[in-house]
Amino acid sequence: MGTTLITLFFATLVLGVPVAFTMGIAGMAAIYIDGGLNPLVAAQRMFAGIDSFPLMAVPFFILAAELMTACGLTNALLRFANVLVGHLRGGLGHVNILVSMLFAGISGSALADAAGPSAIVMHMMRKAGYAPNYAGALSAATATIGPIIPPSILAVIYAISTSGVTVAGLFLAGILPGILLGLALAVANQVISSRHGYRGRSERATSGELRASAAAALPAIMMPAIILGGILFGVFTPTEAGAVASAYALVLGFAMRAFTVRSLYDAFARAAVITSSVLLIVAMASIFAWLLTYLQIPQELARAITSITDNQLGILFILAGFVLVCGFFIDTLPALIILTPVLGPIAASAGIDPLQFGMMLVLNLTIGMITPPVGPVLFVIATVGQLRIEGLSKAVLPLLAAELVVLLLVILVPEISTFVPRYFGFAN
Amino acid sequence: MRRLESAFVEANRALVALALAAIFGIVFANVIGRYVLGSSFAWGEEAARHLMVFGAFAGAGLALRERRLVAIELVADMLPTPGGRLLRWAVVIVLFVFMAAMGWLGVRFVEFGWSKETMSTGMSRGIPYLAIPIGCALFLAHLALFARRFVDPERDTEERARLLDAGDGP
Repeated sequence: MGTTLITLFFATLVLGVPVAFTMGIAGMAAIYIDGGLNPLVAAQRMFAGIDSFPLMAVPFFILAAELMTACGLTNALLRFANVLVGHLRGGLGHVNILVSMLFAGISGSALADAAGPSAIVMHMMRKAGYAPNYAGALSAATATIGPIIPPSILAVIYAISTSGVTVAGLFLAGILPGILLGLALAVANQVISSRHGYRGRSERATSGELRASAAAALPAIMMPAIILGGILFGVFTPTEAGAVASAYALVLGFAMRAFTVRSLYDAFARAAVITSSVLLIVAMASIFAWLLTYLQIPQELARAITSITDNQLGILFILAGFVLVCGFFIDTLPALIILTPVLGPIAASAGIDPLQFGMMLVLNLTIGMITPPVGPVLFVIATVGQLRIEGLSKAVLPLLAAELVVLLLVILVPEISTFVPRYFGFAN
Repeated sequence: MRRLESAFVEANRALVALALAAIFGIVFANVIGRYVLGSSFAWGEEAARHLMVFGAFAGAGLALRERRLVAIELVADMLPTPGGRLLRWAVVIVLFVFMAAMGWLGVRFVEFGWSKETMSTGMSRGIPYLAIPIGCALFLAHLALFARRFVDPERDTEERARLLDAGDGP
């Protein structure tokens, strides 16, 4: 049964069946061929996999980001970032990084960032004389900050499938790694820019410009403050925080007269369809993940790994290497849902903090979004920027190295992930 | 036929948009209720959850149409056009068979849950389970209407262009 499951999964994947369905098809077929299980379990797992209140944070944060974009606040963030760091060496590159970090506080998704602010800065960079492949590569790399800095769709999904971890705890765990990711990319951009002579804006912004752009961006910057503040002080759960963030965006949009009936309806419809595409993966992957557990694959894998080493750091490195390889070939979200129940127990029995393991997993798989052959963020940037994947992949290498350094730090120093949640009392 | 199809798409979009708006309304009202009125309705959470599940399955066909369901199309893209088309037809058939089977399982799942009650509202469990067969039926209808454009991506430039200025996901 295990062989059928894995073979069908990869066969349908290569055939070009949408990833969401590959897991459902493999799971259902394995159940029928084996004959030992009631097939109703497939429907039941699928339903139970998404019948979850914490998971509802996903549609709300998607909706909030759609509404914020409909308000035009993404552009305000961009102007603010440009005023702050646009004059530095490699200025627009730094703008690209900073705006992704600011946008990450609103959106929990790398693809939303890649198609939104990152794509806009990419065009600005190309106009300013940056090599098109480098502009694209940097935009792809900065988009990966989205699911690390809270809110994060991936963090929600890891947290709901791991016992002893809360969504709030994992959100907080992402703050330091997210900032480190931004810094690492800034260093890489600095080095590359001085080598290629990419300059910033000739003049610094005046304090008047700074004040004006800060004031325009303030409503957008307030959003993460509301989300995190509300969660930290126990005012509401992450799911409710998502609803409050959406309500906040709605009020802003009405106050700024930024909505038409049509744009508002479109924002809801679009958020609903994006939500569906995400939850469909979660539902189908639940069948698959349940079967892996039923077949006791985690136990077998655990035995194999502990036979190599029983050193905690050694185990974490083996797990990280395994995840990195999976990230090359499997899309981020399905990989997360499949790997969490398989690898999570191994990490837990080795005494690794589930917050640290979660951060390693999320960051590692997110980095997989900018590596070929299966790198969704790379595909979006290549399409929007009309670039060839080959050139883009080559240009992304130094930035990938910078991100891997952050991953290494997250593995070596547990406190990077655990300090903030512990400090606020959200660890376990 | 074309007009009937776009009416169907619009109706489905309205359905999922409405479901999302309802989820948002319920959860937000519960937050306000708890802090302003000191009480919230117990059925809210369950209703919101079930509406979310419904929206997830009911939007599957639209997600396919808007090409938001990521697939690895490397092989189909590498093959010469006739081979690529053949491969995409195979994908359509696989999807059709799978969703039909899932829909049929969904019906049996509804029958199975019909006599049981949910936790907080006490309605039949079969009602929220309806999300699966309804979602599968909608998906099959979309797939049947959309299959030829799915197989020939070039015919689909208009919908692709719309995706480019929208593209997001997890």
